[in-house]
Amino acid sequence: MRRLAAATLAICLCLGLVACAGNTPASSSAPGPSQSSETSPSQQEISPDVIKEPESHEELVKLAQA
Amino acid sequence: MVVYAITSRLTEAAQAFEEKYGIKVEYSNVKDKEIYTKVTTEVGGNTTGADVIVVHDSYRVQSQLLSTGYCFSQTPLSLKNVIPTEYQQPLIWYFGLKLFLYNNEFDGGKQPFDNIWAMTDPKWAGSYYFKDANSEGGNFNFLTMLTSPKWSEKLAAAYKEYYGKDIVIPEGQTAGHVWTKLFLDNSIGADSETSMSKDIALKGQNKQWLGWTAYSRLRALNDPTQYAIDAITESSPFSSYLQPCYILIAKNVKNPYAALLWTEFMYTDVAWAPYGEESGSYNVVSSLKHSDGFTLDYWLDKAVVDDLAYIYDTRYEMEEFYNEVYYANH
Repeated sequence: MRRLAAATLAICLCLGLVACAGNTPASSSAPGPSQSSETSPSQQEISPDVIKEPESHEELVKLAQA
Repeated sequence: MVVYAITSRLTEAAQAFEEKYGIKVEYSNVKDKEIYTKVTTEVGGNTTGADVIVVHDSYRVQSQLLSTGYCFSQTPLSLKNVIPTEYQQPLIWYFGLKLFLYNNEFDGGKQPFDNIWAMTDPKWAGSYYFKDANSEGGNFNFLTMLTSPKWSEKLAAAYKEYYGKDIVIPEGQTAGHVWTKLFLDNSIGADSETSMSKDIALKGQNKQWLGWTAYSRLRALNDPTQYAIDAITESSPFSSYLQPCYILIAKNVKNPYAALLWTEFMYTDVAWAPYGEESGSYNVVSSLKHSDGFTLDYWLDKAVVDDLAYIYDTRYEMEEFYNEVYYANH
């Protein structure tokens, strides 16, 4: 049981590191051909909205003006 | 709120936005070849920079701004049911049209060709301009798309129509590569599409000149006493290229709600007015005015259009191929 818990923890840590890496922008690179292993857009899922926009347009205007 | 854009015609929109919402807009017109490095440097260093970025090189958009996470794309709620979904991820503002312009003082003003393979014919060698793709990223994206299965197949069929025989494609290449090589071999390099267009248009020349450039160049060449110029709009298998212009938001956006509000404002008559009045700019919102008489739908049937995934995966191959061919004789 203890071995199973340790294995689960290790997997979780690995997944956490992968998630963190995914959120970290690559270092700034000079323009040029890209041959990296970055995810192709065809493989990407449509991301959810980053900015939580209010349902009401008036509210959006108020937040923008704040 | 800070806006970086590759266009110089958002000044009035920025003023109108300020007047309507009372939100100050710092608008900078940044050259296309500089804007990607500027944004990646500023966002990567988490220094003060743009909230919103308006750019149009699909490859750099994907490789330097989106894949890195330095920018993201978000469609305002009010536009989610207005803009076709295929133009929302990433968000496209409009398409700019590129095609061949030609001096129309010859052959009664008729289009000089109706099959794009004519450009590879020795009779047109040294008669047309093409701006070096290393200085015009859109040209790289256009040529890259020609190597896609869809366009290579169409080009192979058009080759047979023009030359009356099957195309011979070297191993590892496509019909798009064959066209690109022959096209570049026949072309003359140009540093500036503005001066190129003027050179083509001047009246009284004893040779007919052509050039691949933005349809909007016609705007500055409408004096019939000096210029004689027109566009090739009908050609097999394509006559033109639609270059997307994207609206992105920086990852370290300082004013997120103002950025969304500005994004929404870009799709209003006020912001669109300078573009709607010229030739060759087509907003993805079809109700916005296009005064040249054409529509985006009209060109979608005749134009090469960027496929972001294909360009992202294969442009570096086209860059290598192009540079080998182009610099062999330019």
